[in-house]
Amino acid sequence: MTIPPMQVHITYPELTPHSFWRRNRRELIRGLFIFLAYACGLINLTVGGVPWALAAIGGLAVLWIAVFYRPLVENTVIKKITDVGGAVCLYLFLLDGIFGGQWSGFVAPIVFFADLIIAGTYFLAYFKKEKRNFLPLFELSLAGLVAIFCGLVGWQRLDWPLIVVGSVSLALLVLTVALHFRAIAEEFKKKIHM
Amino acid sequence: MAVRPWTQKAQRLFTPAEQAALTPYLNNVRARIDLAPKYVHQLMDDHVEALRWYTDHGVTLSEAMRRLDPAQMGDFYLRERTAWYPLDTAAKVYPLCMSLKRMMMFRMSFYLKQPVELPIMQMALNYTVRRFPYFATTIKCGLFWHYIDSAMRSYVVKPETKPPCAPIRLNAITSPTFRVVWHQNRVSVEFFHVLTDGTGAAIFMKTFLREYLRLLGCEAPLSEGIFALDDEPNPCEWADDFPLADKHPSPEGFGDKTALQMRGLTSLEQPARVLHINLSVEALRRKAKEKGVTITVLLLGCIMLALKDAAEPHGGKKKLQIQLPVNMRKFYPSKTLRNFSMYCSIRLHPVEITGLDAILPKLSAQVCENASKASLDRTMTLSRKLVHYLRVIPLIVKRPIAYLIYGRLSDGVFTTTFSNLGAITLPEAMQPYVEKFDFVLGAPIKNRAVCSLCSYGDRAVFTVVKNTALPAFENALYGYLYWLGLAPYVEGTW
Repeated sequence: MTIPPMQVHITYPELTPHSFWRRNRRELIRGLFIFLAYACGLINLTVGGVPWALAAIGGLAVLWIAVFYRPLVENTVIKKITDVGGAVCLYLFLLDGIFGGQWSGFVAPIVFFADLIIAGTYFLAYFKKEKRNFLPLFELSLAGLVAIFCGLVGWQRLDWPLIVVGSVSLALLVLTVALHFRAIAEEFKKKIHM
Repeated sequence: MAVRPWTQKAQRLFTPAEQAALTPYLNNVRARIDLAPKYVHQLMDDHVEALRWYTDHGVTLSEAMRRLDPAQMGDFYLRERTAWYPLDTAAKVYPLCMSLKRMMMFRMSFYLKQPVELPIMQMALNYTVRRFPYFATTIKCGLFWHYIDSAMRSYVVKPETKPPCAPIRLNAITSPTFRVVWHQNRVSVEFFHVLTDGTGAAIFMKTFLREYLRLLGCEAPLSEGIFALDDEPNPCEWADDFPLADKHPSPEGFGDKTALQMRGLTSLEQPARVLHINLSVEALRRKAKEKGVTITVLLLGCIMLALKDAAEPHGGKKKLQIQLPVNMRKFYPSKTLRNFSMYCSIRLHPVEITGLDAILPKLSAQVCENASKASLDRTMTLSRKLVHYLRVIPLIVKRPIAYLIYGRLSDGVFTTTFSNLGAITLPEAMQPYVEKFDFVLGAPIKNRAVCSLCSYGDRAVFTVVKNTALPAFENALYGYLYWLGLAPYVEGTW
């Protein structure tokens, strides 16, 4: 039996394909970042000396999170502010580890509470719109409370930036609960369901 | 005071006499919407456009306003909906393993006998969504699992400008989890799989279609699988019915050996092509009866033969494995529109595939055994156990691990998938308006093609979603269907 060649009748609109660069821009940028990170590491290993490549790689990671990273779910303003703040704080710890100085003990808490104040103000100001996106801010506030706890029990030096971190974290939680108890309790139930 | 955009539009499109009747109507509509301004504009604009369409088509304005009675919107767009829905057991994995280019989407379409009347279709969607509040949702992150949360927004019927089942943007505050697109006489709804499965999608489509036809003046009675828009949604429609399944003492089913894959490089743009092979249901039924098997088994046989032709030649011990989803509603009294299906695997080694008549009894036996309730209960029990054990691990830890595992294994344990949705039925009054339905699975990861089937009336549409430009599989499949005397008629993308 002779089988005729399959004829396909087009029933879909012709789509104009995006260029290779546009279609794969995210992968290309990620590739560039990874290449730069590897290059820094290799050069540092070859030349030797202070591990500055770690600082460079950390900087690239912060840049990636601040500019290019977009979560697939809940890419919200609060998420962005908290992610960037968290990344910068971790970077400061890294710098401290590499070069020494007061980056982690003094500067990081300042960045942390500044971040909390910005995210918290935004959250409370636009509560109706943002109430369903409070989880990153809640996590950040919890981290702040853990930090002050560490200071209070003597695991970390208790200076004024850390006290402010603890105060702002507590104030944010108290304010949210006091102003919007019912709404936030409802949202909390959703967030912690198992 | 600035004139509102929809008022301007009404002033442009209607005579002053008509506007006098229109103004209170539009005020009534506006009073039922309390959304962000862009959605208010869109909904108001939809009403004005639809009224214009009616008057252009000889319907009086009063009759048009009766058909577009604002009461049909209820308070769906007015009151803040706070309902939220945990993902069902099967859906929990989908958001964990998705990426920008990889998302578990599927699509269902109906083809009308006339071109789509867009303003009316849009209004039908505006009304239909109200009956499916669990679809009018957006995906959110919890501490342990994702969940879907009510989204205060309107939904738009858009022209088709993307490949079928293209990933959907989910990350904005009210991002929808489904999209509605149209092209000529086809209306398609593409769902993210967290929302529903094929059965739920079919109910949505039929209800949507009935509403569209009602707005066009065709009053069709309710029938099975069509919801009345005025009814309150029943909680059992969004229940996770996996716990209904009987517990099996020895749960298993996910682990499987790597399957033999088809030849061909996976394309950069996915899907590479979508093909709809139109067949006569009657001819299929006759041929299946002649061979003493079901339609599913007959088509599985054709797929196996085509797979053998299209597969890598040196597979060693690897088998050709077809993933066969099974609707669990046939075993359990479920009314859910959420996912309630399981899958089994149908396997043959290429050496065993010597001809259609030789493999049909083997396939039939495998389908009987693997798609049995007892066998599927084992897999369901395992999936429930997995979810139970994973529930205490925070999402931030689970997500990267699940993504890595799924990326590694993905669909590599199958050569292809064959999802048979079965027959879609419509009330007699709706039948003259509808040509056919089709059902499209999202592009696979490692598999070079996946197949699906649904039928309406005498038209069965067998859809092949290709992930490679190499046409070996579909050419072989076409050949076998032709050879069986099924006179396949093929439609598809460019």
